[in-house]
Amino acid sequence: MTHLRRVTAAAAALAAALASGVLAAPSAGAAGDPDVAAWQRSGRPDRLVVVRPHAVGLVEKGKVVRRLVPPGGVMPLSWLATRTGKQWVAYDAHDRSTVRIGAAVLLAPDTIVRVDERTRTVLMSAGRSAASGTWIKGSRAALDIQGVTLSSVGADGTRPAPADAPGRPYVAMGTKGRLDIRDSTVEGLGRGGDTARSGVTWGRLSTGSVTGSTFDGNLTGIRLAGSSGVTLKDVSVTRSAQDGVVLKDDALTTVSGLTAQSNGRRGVSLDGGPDSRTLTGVVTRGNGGAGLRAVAQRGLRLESPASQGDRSGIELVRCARCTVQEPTVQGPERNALRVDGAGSHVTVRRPVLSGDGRGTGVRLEPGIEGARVTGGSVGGFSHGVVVRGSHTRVMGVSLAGNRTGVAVGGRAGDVELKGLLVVGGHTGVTAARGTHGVVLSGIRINGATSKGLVSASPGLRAVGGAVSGATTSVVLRAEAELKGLAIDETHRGVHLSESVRATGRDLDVLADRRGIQTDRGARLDLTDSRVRAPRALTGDGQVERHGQTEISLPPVPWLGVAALGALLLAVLLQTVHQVRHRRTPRPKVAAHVRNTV
Amino acid sequence: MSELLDNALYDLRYYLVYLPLGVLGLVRWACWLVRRVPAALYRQVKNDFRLPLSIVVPVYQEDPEIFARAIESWLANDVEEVVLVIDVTDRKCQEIAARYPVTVVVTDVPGKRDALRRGWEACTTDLVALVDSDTIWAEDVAAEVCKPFADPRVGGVGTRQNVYNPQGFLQRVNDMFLDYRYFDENAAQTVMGQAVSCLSGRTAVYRRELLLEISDDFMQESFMGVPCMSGDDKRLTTLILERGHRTYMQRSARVWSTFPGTLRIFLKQRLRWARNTWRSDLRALSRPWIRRHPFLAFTMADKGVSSFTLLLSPVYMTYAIVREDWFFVSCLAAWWWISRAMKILPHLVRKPSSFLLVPGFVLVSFAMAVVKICALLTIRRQRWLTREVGVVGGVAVRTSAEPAGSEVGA
Repeated sequence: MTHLRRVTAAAAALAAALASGVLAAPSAGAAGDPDVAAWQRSGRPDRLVVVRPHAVGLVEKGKVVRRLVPPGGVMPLSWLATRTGKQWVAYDAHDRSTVRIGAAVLLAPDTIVRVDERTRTVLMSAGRSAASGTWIKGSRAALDIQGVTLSSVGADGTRPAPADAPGRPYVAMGTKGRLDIRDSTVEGLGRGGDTARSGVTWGRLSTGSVTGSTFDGNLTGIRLAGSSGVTLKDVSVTRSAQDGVVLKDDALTTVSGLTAQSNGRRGVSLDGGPDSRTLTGVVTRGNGGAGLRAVAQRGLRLESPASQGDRSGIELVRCARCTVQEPTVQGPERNALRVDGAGSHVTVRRPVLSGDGRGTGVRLEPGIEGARVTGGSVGGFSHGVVVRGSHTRVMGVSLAGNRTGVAVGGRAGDVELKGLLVVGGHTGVTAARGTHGVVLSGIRINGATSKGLVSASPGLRAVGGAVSGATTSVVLRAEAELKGLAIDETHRGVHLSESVRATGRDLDVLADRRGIQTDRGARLDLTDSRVRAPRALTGDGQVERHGQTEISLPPVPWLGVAALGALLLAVLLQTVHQVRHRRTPRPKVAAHVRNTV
Repeated sequence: MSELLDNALYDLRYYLVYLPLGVLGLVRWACWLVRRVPAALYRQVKNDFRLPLSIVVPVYQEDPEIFARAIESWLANDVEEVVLVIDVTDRKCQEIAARYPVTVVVTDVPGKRDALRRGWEACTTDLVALVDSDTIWAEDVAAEVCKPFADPRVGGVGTRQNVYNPQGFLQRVNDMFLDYRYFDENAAQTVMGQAVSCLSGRTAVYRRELLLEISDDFMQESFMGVPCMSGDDKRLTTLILERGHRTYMQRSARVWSTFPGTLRIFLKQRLRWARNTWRSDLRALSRPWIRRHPFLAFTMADKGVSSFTLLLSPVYMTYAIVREDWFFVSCLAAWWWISRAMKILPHLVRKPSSFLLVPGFVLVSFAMAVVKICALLTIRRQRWLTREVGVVGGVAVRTSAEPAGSEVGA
């Protein structure tokens, strides 16, 4: 029975060969043969299939061993699988929907290869060496993959091939080529070295699309390197050894519904590229680096990016005129949103950032040109917002449960914090010594366990707003101007450190211990203000009152005086008693009674 | 309007947080000063007046050594007679009594009241000292307690008491409480109207004729329908005062008595005393005779109120700890220590080392306030708590097995 089947198969193969036009016996592969030249340019793989519009050459060890005449137009992979042979491209012996690729495939210009449902699983061999590994490359050609699982397979049959296999397969489309992947899964591709071999790569001026597909366990999931007009839609990139998606110097890329999860480094990396691009619906989760990192962008617009459990959330480096709209970042280890690099000017609108006690919510680094953060909420970080760069505006942000709500540090200048609500935490707002031009307006700080506002920033202005519930509401360690500030539910309202000069106008201080404390040499000019506290004005410094300034009387000392009087009276009465009974003799009693004094 | 509201809220909050305890503290201090000022002016009676005096001692399961020493101390005084009314079951004490020149009356009726009555009925002298069997007298007690009786209006005289050789924290604290009582409360009541609220049963001297007069009332005391078993001393004092006589504390007459050293017995004893005090004071304050003794009424009311106000202080302390207001916690703790030390200065002058025990004394005071409230809530309960007798069905009975069935109308 088996013998009969073999004979039948051999007869069928012969008929097919005749029908498809096997033109000649293997030639010698003379120098100057275009297929050999292509083999030489392609890194001299052990076996190379060169697909041209009118011929398919099989090159083995630098020799053309066979040439086939392909059908006109689009060439399906299934055609190669039936024509080339077991060591090249062939159907799996047991599964007719699986094709095994054992040779590198080079798509010459003007060829179109389609991999579709007819070959539902495509296994590309990793071989035992770089030369025996497989790849599919092309330029000015088109590769269309649809409804397929494209996977690497190791020399020992493991699927996908180990990440360190030297011949791990990859797919790369070069100049002016087109690569489209739809409804497919790509797994275990990419080898080290040249970035064009890192997984699936669109090279310079190539184009194409990825739709509804998953990239899993590749070295780099998707790389657009100088591509043009590639569309990424509803794409999931997971468990890449390095970055999930890399967009470098690409042009006209459109991204929507991109998910990068559990990749070894960044989820999505943008480097260079066109001005004013928009990325919509990028979701990153659990990546080993930043969820999304954008470098050297102009006019980038990120619409609703979401990061969850990435090491860092969103990083913008050297981004001019960039906008991040409604980003959501949860539980980053380091920074939820960071802006860095010279020339950066970023607007962040309505961020929703939540941490687990570590890291920073928004971090604006030194050297940036400017930044604006408006609306949204930042909560649960070690620092809610850190401002170290100049020309920054943080407005209308709600900060809750951060150990420090806002920290202005470094040499930041021209910093405006407006309409912020800082709730809970250890310290509300701090401004460090090296900063200048810091203005707080309409800021509300509630329930900080230690201090509300601590400023060592010369010339700080706080206009309007309220501080409530801190141990000490306002600590001034440098010249400052307070205006229209309401302070209550605090032990100590305002504390001026030694030699600090400050002015206060229209302040309303309500403290349960000390209203305003001025250390030695400090002076506060208080105008049209009200201070109510058991000890309204304390310390060795000066508080000069101007206008209609009202200071409450301290009632507690009277209680203390009364208590002291009562104690003294007790002592006096005891003295009277002692004097009156000074001659009372000790009782005569038996010796065994000892308590007789 | 909003400013007015704002100010009102501020004042409310401020005064709510800080002043109530302070004001209450000042009120409590004022009440204490009302007692302390007359107490500081107290002087014991000095004269040569003397009347024949007998000692009546109910005896039940007393420590033999203490009992023997007590008898010797009584005999060392110049008294006409020592009458020991010993429970029939207490063979040990009967044997000890037999060694001394005293009169022994053996009774098979349980309960202290009946024993006391039997004792004073057996006496013949003008004055009868009712003494506990563990109370040791100084050598001049008999002479000293007679002096106030020079005033015919005086019907009963009390002595100053201390703990016999105090050891351990609780006995030291008891000693502090006793000094507080005799240098403040009783001294003030003596000065302000000669109406001491309770002549302690450890040693209280009465005119015998008065004891015979009040004997029936004493034996038939009941509260809210339940016959009373303990609180005999408070009852006797009240009956004397009710009949228009005076009670006096003669501080130069000094006696020493044993006190429990274990917390369990300490608390039981305090609970029993607190119930007696509530019963007696509530009844006294509802009777017309108390109007003749306004200072006594004040001290009774003050004592009742203090049970509740005292507990506000630990409540504030707890609140401050919850708020982590450590400044307030420190101030209040310091105030507890210092202010209470000032209030027991007579004791601290006597025993300066007790200053270190003041925090413990304060805590025990709080516990006592709780005990007093518990006592008020269980005011009808009649149990001795530290002895095996109780009131069952309106009569005093032994709660121990021996001798079975012995019961007599209380």
